[in-house]
Amino acid sequence: MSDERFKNLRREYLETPVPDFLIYDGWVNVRLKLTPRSYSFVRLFAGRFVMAVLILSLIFTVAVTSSQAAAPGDFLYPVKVASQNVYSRISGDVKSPIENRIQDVIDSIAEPDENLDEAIKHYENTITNSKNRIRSEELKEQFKATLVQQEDKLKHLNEQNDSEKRREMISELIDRTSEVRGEVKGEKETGDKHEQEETRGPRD
Amino acid sequence: MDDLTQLIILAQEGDRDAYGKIYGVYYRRIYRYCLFNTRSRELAQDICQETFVKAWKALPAFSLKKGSSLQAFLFKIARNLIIDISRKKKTESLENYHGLVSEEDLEGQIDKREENKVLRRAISELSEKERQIIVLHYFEELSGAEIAKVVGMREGALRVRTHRTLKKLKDLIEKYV
Repeated sequence: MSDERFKNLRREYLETPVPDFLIYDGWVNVRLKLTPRSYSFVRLFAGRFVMAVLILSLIFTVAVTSSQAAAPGDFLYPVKVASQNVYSRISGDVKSPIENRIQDVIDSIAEPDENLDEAIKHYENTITNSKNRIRSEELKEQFKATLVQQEDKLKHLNEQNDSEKRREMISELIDRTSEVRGEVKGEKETGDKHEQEETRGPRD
Repeated sequence: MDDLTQLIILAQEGDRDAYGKIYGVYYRRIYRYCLFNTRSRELAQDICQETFVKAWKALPAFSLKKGSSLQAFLFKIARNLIIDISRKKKTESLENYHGLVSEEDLEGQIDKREENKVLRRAISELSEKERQIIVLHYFEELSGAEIAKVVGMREGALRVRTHRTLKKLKDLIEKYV
């Protein structure tokens, strides 16, 4: 096929006369039929927004699920703590988050210092936040009983602990637990000094 | 950013005046493309108008990424409307196109017109997709990528199809001559 044939026909094609209506009134007629853009625009972005929410939800679900196996020092550990705190707030359970955090402290006793520090920090935050959150007398009693249990666990942990530095860290944690328990009672001073001395456990 | 891109962005945000300028740039091309395919001035006029109404609705979804083409976007809408209408109404032969183009028939142009008539007849024998490939490539001078978008083919497949179509056209012309 020669291009010359097409050129001749193209010339004829381009000479196609356009009706007067399209030249003078065509746009006016089209403009009247144009729907306001806002509707389409909102619909377009609503679709993108829904897609973004779905993707974020998926990422969030995967992160929360994966974080449940995280230990102090892990990248996802703060996510695990946050998710368990949210769950306890929704369910009104004051006991579980404290028990979970003390278990993390127990599990981290043989870990490097920074991991134990992080576990202690999250435990302290949890008991402080729980103390500030609870209002009913029933929950306060439950909270105090839970703290007593944690003190016992920490004392037991210190009895088995050979490292003086670690014993000191745990003793401070026992003091802090006792202090928070005292604050729930409404006492200005921290718990019984004699009782606190006992909680420090054996010294080298 | 060129002027057309700016007009597209404004139109996507709802600026009808900007869209009016886009209409001014393309309406002639869309009209003659519709006329060539429908053989009816009234129908071509209606499809041309409807193309711009539909394009306005679809414009927010039009991507301004590299390789995108507004003319391919408009021709594709026009082609779909032509296909919809041709399903309802059997189109007339393209051979009649000559009478629609011009009433003038100068003596010196008779041979060329005869030649064009043969080519038009051959084009009218092609399938709808093959006809669009020829019109968009040789008359509207769209790029391969743009034609591929309009007819819904990959560029590689389009090249093969174009080659076969030209051979088919050559055979048809030889038959008519």
